[in-house]
Amino acid sequence: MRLQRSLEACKFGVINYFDALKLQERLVSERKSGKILDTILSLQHPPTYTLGKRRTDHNLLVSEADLKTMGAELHYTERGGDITFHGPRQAILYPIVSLRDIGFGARNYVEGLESVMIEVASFYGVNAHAGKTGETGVWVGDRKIGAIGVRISSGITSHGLAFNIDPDLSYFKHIVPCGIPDKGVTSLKTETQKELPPDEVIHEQLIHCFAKIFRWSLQVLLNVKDCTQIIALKELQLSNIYNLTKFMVSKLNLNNRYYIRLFTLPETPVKSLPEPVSISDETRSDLNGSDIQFPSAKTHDEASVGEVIGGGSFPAPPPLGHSMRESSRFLVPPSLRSSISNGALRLRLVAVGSPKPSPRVSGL
Amino acid sequence: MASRLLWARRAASYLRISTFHRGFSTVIKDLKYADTHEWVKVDGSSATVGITDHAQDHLGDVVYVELPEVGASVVQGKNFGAVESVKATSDVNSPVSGEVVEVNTELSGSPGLVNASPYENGWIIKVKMSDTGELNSLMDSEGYSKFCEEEDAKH
Repeated sequence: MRLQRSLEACKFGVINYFDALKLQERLVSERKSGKILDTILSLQHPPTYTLGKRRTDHNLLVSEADLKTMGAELHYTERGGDITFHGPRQAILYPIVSLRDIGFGARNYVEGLESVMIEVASFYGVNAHAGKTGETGVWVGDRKIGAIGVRISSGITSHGLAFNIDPDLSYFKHIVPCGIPDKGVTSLKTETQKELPPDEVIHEQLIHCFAKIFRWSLQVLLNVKDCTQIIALKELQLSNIYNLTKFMVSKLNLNNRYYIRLFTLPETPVKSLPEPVSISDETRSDLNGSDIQFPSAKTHDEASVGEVIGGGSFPAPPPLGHSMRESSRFLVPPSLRSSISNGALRLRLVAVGSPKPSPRVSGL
Repeated sequence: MASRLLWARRAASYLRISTFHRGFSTVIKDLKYADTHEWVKVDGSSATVGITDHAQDHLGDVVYVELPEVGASVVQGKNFGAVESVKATSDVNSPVSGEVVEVNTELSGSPGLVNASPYENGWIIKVKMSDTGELNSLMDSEGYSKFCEEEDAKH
């Protein structure tokens, strides 16, 4: 009997490109060592231009100084593909999956990504198609609606696809998109006659098509569309004492609070949590002003997949460079430990930053 | 038969027409193979490294090859460079450890050699091996053919 492969989806809001890149690198490393399952990130970016491994910056038609004025960033990456633009209202999917486990090569995988976008476009009556050889991506006529750029390292994918729902297409004027002159870009909004639902519906459709085409069984792990900063997404290590690892603080202007969610990922539902997960006094003092709580056993009859078993918030730490002390701990009661060590119960920690006001973009 | 198909592929590549997709990939006897689809041809302590026909077929048309510097060291199982195809960059791993003594500079102008001639003109680096014993952990042509069959059966 073939075991079903699980795909865990994490849905975010608008995430800075660099933060998303760092998160992907971490996830690739964790996927490689088998600490996490196949994962897919769904998000959008603030206005950002990116270059691939070949560094084709001759296809950027404005100077970096001009980009700053526009409120756009530029990033160099190790993905395949040429220059492209990412921005709000463009759906981004970053699957972090093992191609080796499914025996796929780059070509099959990329063709699958094209099929995902083609299928979702068809839901809105848009007749899209894959590009000719050498023109990877998804096109409506000779206008590009979806772009692909992938990195495969030790058989694990990162980066992925970008599907234009209704981004500001004028940003594309400043580049030769994907290095192909004479071909335009378009969006779902431009091509469809139908009314479009909220973006999250389209993101959802993309994720479902992805799972279907590659035959994964989908689980939505995390849905924090109002978060704008990913600080940690960690599977908690299997030991008696769980270390809260360092939080990455890469933005100074976080306001409000950090939120932590602790999820259960049991293979089979755990009958009950006889004692609650708690945090040590050291952690509590580190997280000065925190209101982290875990529900008591009485309120938890069954911990099912993805269920939040505890969480809370704590104030934004002092500026850049702050990290949790190594001694910070979550304490797991003895009764849970055997469930954890035999794999029946997995705990995953997510820490996300609270919504912050979107940056004001001065005139284009 | 296999060499005729290889010729057909080369000709097609030169003429830029697409070939039929064969049900099998060419595997050359006397080479050693890594499970990440690289081959190594040994001559004393000197090794030539490239990617297999199976690999180039699964990659699609290669448009760029990232080569290491001559003099760089490589480690068995670790990546030393990358190839780009269909907007995907894929790591290439070294089947042996040692020092890079030569890189195939032809690939800078003609990356398609990797597709057209994966075992000959599409070679990627030449390595002075530091430990010939490492070859024992690699597969022979038969083992590799079987490995490819099993991989392709996964989907």
